[in-house]
Amino acid sequence: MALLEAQHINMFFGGLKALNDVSLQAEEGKISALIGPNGAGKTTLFNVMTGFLVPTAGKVLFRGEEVQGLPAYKYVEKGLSRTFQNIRLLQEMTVLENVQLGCHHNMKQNLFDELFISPRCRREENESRESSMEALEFVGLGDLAGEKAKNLPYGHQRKLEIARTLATGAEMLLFDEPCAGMNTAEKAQLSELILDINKKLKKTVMLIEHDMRFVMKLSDTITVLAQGEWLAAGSPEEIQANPKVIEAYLGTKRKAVGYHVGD
Amino acid sequence: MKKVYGLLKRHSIIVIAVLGILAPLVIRNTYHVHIILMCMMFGILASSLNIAVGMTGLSNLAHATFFGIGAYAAAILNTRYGLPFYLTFFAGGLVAMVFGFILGAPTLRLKGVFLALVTTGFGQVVRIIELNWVSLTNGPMGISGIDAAEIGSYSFSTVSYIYYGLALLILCMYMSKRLMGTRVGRALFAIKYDETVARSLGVNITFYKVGAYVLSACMAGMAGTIFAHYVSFISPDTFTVADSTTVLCMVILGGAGSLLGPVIGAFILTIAPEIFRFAQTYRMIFIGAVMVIGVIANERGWVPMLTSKIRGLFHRKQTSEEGGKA
Amino acid sequence: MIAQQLINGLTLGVLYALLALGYTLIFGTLSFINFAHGEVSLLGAYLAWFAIARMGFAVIPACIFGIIITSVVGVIIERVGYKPIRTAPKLAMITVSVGFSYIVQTAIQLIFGTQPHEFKVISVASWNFAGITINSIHILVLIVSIILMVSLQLFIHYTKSGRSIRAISMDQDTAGLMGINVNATISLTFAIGSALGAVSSILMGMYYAQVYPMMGTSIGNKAFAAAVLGGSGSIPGAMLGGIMMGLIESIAGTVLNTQVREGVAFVVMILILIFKPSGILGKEVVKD
Repeated sequence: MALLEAQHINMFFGGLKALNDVSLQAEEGKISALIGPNGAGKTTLFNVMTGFLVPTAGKVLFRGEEVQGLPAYKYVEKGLSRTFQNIRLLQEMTVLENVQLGCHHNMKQNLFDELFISPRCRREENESRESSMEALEFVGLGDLAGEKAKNLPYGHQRKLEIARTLATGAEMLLFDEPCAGMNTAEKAQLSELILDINKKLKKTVMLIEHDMRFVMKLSDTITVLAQGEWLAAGSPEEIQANPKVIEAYLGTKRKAVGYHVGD
Repeated sequence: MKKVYGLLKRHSIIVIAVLGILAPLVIRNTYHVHIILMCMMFGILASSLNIAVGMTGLSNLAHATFFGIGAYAAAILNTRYGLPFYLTFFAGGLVAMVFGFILGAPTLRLKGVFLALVTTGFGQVVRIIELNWVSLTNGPMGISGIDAAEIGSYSFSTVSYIYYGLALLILCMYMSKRLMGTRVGRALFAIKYDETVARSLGVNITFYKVGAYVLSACMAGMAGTIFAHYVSFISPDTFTVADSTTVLCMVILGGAGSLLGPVIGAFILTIAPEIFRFAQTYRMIFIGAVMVIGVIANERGWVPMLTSKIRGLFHRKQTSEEGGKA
Repeated sequence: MIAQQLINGLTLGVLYALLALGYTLIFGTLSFINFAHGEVSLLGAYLAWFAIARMGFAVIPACIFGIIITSVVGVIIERVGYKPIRTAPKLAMITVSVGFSYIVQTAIQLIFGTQPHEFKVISVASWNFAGITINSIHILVLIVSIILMVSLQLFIHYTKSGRSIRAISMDQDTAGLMGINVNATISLTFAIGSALGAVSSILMGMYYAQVYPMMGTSIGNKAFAAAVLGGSGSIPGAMLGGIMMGLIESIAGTVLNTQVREGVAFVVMILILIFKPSGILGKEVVKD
């Protein structure tokens, strides 16, 4: 059964059609990928599916329940958590605090609990610290919990963002270009991590990525967008063999660079 | 030395409390007692404004207005309906909360300069209402004859107002301290640093932003009631726009988002003009100069440099200062 | 009656517009509201008054003296106060500008006294048409203001410096990379803004026939409200906003008392910021 489903999404900004009748499904327990040339509308679709944009038309279903139009902060409660294309950490806060913020929606304590240090407050703070440390250790940042986020190297910052989504306890995680700007070794490490998240933690994962080798290796299914339209969907093998996809990629590359690029 | 510094910093609330309790026992001069009380009032204002400005990243140039609203609520309820202090205290806080909501709710979308402008306008409009709604506020003449605070049959001496202010100041600081490092405070800081991230992690930013305004307004309003009963006469000139900006200056210079900083800023900016015995005109030049020089120095990193030098004197050897609390 | 209010409102309005131009020019380049602008502008009127009453200058040289000194003060404040913290959070800049407003206002009180001074520098002739009084100051204000606004538009659109100002208001970093001298251009903005403000305050002094220390704050408040109404950062917006504010105020004045009238500008500004923060002619994006 599809855990997350987008049905006939249209997203217009004024006269600009960013998404035109796009549909996709993410199967529970699988890793699915969203690919496409620059400007295909991948991040826009992510924003629609996580509540940052309200689609002009179409439905977003999570566990069969319509969620489009809900305020963005409710999506985490439903079980959807995301990262951002440009790393967005709370730079001045510690690594642990960044992750603990992920537990926010699971906690019930209010200002008065905090003032009177109620048992609920103590219990929840301890639990959030423990689960945050677990998430940090899972991504391999357990030793750096007390550092300020801004002091982490680039690769660690990406991992921290992933740890934060883990701490939310969401069943479905959406990663927007998780390995952008990484070198080959870091990418290999990251793909291991994402596989672990999928296999060991049983999370459903959807990712946007430009590195084809990375995508083909990880994903169970792939959806291709081009210029705001749905182009194809299927297994990595099917996508690699799909002439429309090849054309979309090579076509734009020719246009952009002016000559044929191998690889 | 290092230990002493660490202890002082960790238990800054207790230090302030002890100093506050001892000060009136040593100092008897009425004028000095008045200054200490003003320190408490501005300390509360700075500490509560810090919740909105320092922790949540909202700009507010009308904090003294909430103080004034609390004072007016107390004055009106006391002189018209004879409500005693312990009731006007909470009523003043409540009325200020309502106004905090009125200011906070419609301005959620606004940030930075635009929010500063709206709050300035709000302060001016409230002042004009205070001046012109004569049947309620007695206009420019103000309200006089506010009863001295009493609880039961025990009536307050001037010194007791200090203890009352101190209690509220300690409450403000304790609240700030609890907020730093727990769920609600993390949500506030997250809003300050990145609203998008806060939303993506399930923080209802509408609720917390309005909440921060309402909470800080409530504290300021309660302080206003203490002040009204203490001076027994208030008028629209008691709380000016200049006071609001002075409080903001205290927070920024003391360190927006820190626990002790805004309170220290408030103490210094309250006491300094008194030490130098500035007349009212010179006082404004002094405050203006502190704003200009202080903020520039702060932003260019001279103040952090200075404090780290001072800290260095205490530490002698290199230490790993615990992060996150500063 | 209404026609008379419109004439008065229009006259006030163009004066607010001149002052609002200073706010909007500075907002365009540095993205913050310079709270000291009203007080700095008032210096112009005080200096002109001082040159005439104490130094025996003729009217026009006195005004030029006032305008030039004000312009220099504006630039000095920018260099000393805002340049070192250009990249800091905007709240810091706002605080510094409020600090300068206190300093300038107090300095005016200390140097020129706290009492209002009479500012009758030109002989006023007035004409009556069917119950509407128009005097020579109305005409002077309208002519001078319109000439200045048109020249500013020409300057901004058709000169190299004007293009630099527009480039910086779009993207400071890129403008810098393109070889525009960012520091000089920002200083130029302050010089022009303060000079326009000085003209406005001198004319305002003539209009009310007096200058007093709180005048800068009072008209400055209305002018920044006007700048917000027209659209922060938009030059035509500031002109439109100023004129609208003048008209709104003088029409409101027929039903409200003077003090309540002071509040109308703020109410208009708050409503605009809540419902359309970009103002009437401003860009849609709300910068922070």
